[in-house]
Amino acid sequence: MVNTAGKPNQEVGRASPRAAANEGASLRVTSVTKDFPAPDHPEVRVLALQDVSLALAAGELVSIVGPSGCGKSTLLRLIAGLDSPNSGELWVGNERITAPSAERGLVFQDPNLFPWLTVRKNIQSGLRARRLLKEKRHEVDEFMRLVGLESFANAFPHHLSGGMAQRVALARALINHPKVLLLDEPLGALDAFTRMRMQDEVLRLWQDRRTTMLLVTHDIDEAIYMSDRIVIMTPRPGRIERIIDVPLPRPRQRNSPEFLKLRSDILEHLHFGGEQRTDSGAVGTPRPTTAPQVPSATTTVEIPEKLDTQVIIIGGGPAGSTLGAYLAKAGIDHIILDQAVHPRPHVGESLVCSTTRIFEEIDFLKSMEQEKFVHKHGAVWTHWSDSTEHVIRFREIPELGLTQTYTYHVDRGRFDQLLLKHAARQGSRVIEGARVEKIEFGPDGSATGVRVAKNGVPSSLRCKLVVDASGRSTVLGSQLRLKRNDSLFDQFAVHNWFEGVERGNSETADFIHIHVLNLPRAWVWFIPINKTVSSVGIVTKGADFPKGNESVKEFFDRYIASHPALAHKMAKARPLHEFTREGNYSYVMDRLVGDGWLLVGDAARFVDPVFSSGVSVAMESAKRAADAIITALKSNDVRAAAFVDYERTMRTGLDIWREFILLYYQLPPLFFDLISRPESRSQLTRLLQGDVYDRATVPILSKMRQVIKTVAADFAHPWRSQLAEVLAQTK
Amino acid sequence: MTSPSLEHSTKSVERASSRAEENADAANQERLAGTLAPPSPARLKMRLRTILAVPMAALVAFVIHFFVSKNQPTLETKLYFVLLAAIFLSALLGTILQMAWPSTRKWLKHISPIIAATILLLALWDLITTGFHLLPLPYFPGPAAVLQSLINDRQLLLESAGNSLLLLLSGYAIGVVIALIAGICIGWFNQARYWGMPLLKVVGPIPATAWVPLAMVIAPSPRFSAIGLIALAVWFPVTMLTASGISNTRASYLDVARTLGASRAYLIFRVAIPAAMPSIFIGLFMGLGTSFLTLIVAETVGVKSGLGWYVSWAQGWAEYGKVYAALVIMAAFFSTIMTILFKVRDRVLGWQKGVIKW
Repeated sequence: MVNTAGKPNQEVGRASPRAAANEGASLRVTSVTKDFPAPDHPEVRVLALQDVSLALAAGELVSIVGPSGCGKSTLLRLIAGLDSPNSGELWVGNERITAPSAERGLVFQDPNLFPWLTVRKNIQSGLRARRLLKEKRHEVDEFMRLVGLESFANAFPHHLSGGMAQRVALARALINHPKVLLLDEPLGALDAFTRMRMQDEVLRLWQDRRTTMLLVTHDIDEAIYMSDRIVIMTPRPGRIERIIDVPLPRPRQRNSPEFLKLRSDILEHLHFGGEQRTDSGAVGTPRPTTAPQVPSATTTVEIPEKLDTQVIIIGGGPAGSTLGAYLAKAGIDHIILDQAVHPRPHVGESLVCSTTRIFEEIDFLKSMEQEKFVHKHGAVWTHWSDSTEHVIRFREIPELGLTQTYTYHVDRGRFDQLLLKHAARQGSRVIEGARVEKIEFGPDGSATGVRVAKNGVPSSLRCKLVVDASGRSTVLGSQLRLKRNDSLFDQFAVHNWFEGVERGNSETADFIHIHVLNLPRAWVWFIPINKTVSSVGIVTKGADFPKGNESVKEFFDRYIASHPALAHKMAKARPLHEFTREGNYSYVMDRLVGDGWLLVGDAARFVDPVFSSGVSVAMESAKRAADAIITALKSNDVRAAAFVDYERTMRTGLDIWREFILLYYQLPPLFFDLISRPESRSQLTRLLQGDVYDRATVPILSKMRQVIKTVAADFAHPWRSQLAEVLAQTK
Repeated sequence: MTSPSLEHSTKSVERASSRAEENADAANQERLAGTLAPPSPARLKMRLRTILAVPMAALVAFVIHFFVSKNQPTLETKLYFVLLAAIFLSALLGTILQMAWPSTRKWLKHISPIIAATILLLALWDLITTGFHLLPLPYFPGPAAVLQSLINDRQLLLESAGNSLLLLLSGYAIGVVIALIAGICIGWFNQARYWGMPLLKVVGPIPATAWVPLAMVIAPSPRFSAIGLIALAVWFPVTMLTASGISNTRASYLDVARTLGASRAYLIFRVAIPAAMPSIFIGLFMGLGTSFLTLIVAETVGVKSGLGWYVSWAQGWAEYGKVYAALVIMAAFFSTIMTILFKVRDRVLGWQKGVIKW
């Protein structure tokens, strides 16, 4: 700009008043979630922002682009303090944002000038609101000059053109010397020429004053022309998809090759992002999204100012608790940080046999029995086309080294709580209601600790090793941007607990019942939670999920009514809660381990839990992570190399799960056929018991792949019509 | 009630805006200039017809009265002749004046036809009553008789008007103050809205005059009861429209003010109230209308002075000339007050000029 080297800002002729005193402030948004009631269904909450984290350095200019409905404006309103988030925190400098403040100016697309005030009075309204008009009256003239409106001082807003009005709105926000200026498509309504002029004016203001600016725009050129970084958001729910650096020097050329390259990259990305999500219609959030931030009875340890521990585990779900129990057994000092306050609801209520071994190892099996969780001896599959029950009994193939031939159905709220308590009894230090803001890294790139906030009080915890067991919050994966979409399964679930479900004959009554519906990838689960209560859920393709006017309950009832066997089971059933719906955003992380950190459970990867794999994956990965950590800490080397074996094992196991699920969905009749044959049946049972880790080959999967290939090639094949076309992208 | 100058400037804005290109600053400057520049004098050349309308009408009235008033008392007749002559002369004077002083032209041009028509109406009335005796006496005296009553009883009429004014202003002022406070509270605070709105909706629509029996029992004097009734009559529309104006304040104005660091007091007094002003003024006008009605009713039933009282008193004596004289005074009196309120509105809502058409 005009700012000549060595001269302080104040002396620049036309530049802003007192620019030097007006440095911007840094801005931090951590895992912010915000929902609103849907316009026509107030009982359904629409997720406007999901787990959005963003940090702006002081004096940075960052743009947010994205299609409408991606929560851009909501985010700005949250930063302005006009709304408050359901969860997550927002900070300006060292201050938590709780209410609007003159430190954070906001300019809307509509200038929103007060029509009853003249231009001059509009500009000075900020001073008047803060009762500073008398002492700072002289600044009003400077600001009118700044935006070039001296001659319109006494005109009323409706006499101004769009560009002039927007300049007044800018001046009105700037006169408060905000540390952060939020611009919500301020130039959106202007014609192309005025807009380009205004872009230069805003840039000039920014360069003079070093205000931190966050600009929401739908104009990609504008974003590239103006900002240091571009945040791309995707809708339903609003999330940050990607953040792109704009390394071009200023002033920028709108038609330079670098500019155009960046532009086409972003366009492509947005297009791609849009395609991915076209058929995921569900926008509702499954359950109350806020975990009450109150200290609970089980909280034992307050966060100390600074605390050295060996390992910090983020998340107190099955993965975190199991890992804690293993580490406690090995005498390794660690802390489990849990954001939620127990008990909390969760899906994945049926376990597989492989978890039994882990329960034994961490001395939890007795508690499982004491708690009288329902024994799960097997699974029953039924298909819409006939009434045959395909039964798998776990006792047929006992899990190696185990005498117990059953596993459990659990109330996850209760189960998770028990497991975490168990870990605490074993020696884990558990901090509940602690929100992880950020994992901190040292100069050498290895994790050194965690920034947490409890009841709004932030603090730092130092440790050697950070384990992310935060489940689908994927704290570390999001921070390091390791997360990749893996949406082969665009599945959604609607579920509830019922009383009075008909459980059928006594031998298989406590089995998990899975009924395959006459719709692509659609099925129903029946899980007995205790003597009277059953969990019933419908899983279906996102595209078949209720949209428009159909309520979740109507959708559920319609599916149940679609088959007589289901209708019979549910004839006397009475729902116990509100229906919950759950979207499946299957994902995978680029890396599962790094220097001083590793990911376990759902934080590492999430796949469709059709075969009750959820808890098993969590606990198996925790067990293996514990082994790796114990070894690594012994040799005092926690670099990524120490955990490569863990990563390889987990990837192999999860790949097998994933492929099994994929093949299962691809040709349902094949699965039923294989179950009914003794030789393949035992192999399937092994898989369904959770024996997927430490295996070099899985012959049954090769066999399934082969059959599918044959069916795909043979157009006359009786199963041909049931072959799923969408899953052709198998590796 | 559009004032001529305002109407003109609105037109010129429209004209200018059709030319001006949207969003272009230069064009806008021009548009702004268009609003402020004086209208060109060339288009205001007065035609002969306009100039002569008033003198001719006065002349016609004069002649008619000359013929119809042959059998009338001379005192009555004389006064009316004097009035018509005065009109004739001032019209001529006005014509001369506008030649020397062009700025009066526009106003004269606007007002002349209305004055002329009024004079002709008077002449017609003269013809019907005094001339052909088509309407029964004493209920329908001629204009000359009314004029004479007006002049003769001017002392009492003036006094009555003064008393009415006092009643009206005190009642109106009290009603407006209470209504504004109530309306702002109901519009802004949810608690006040919850409790106040049902009261307003149930009690408000009862016409204030229906409270007369009760008011006469409760109030220490008829004067107090009249003031109370007028205040009550004003209270309902002003509260209702203030509350609705406040609660309909555009949320984005409030959002903007909050991000500028506004306190609650600022939000109420500097954002919500100015934004509600157009609505509040509608309430004030409605309240003024009902307050006139209530004033007259209150005066006829209790108070022993004022224009309402004067009308019923004159009627008691069958002096219909005086009744009409009082009506003339009322017309002047009420329309003056109304005009004053319009002027106040023009001033307070000056920012709306060019946004809406009044």
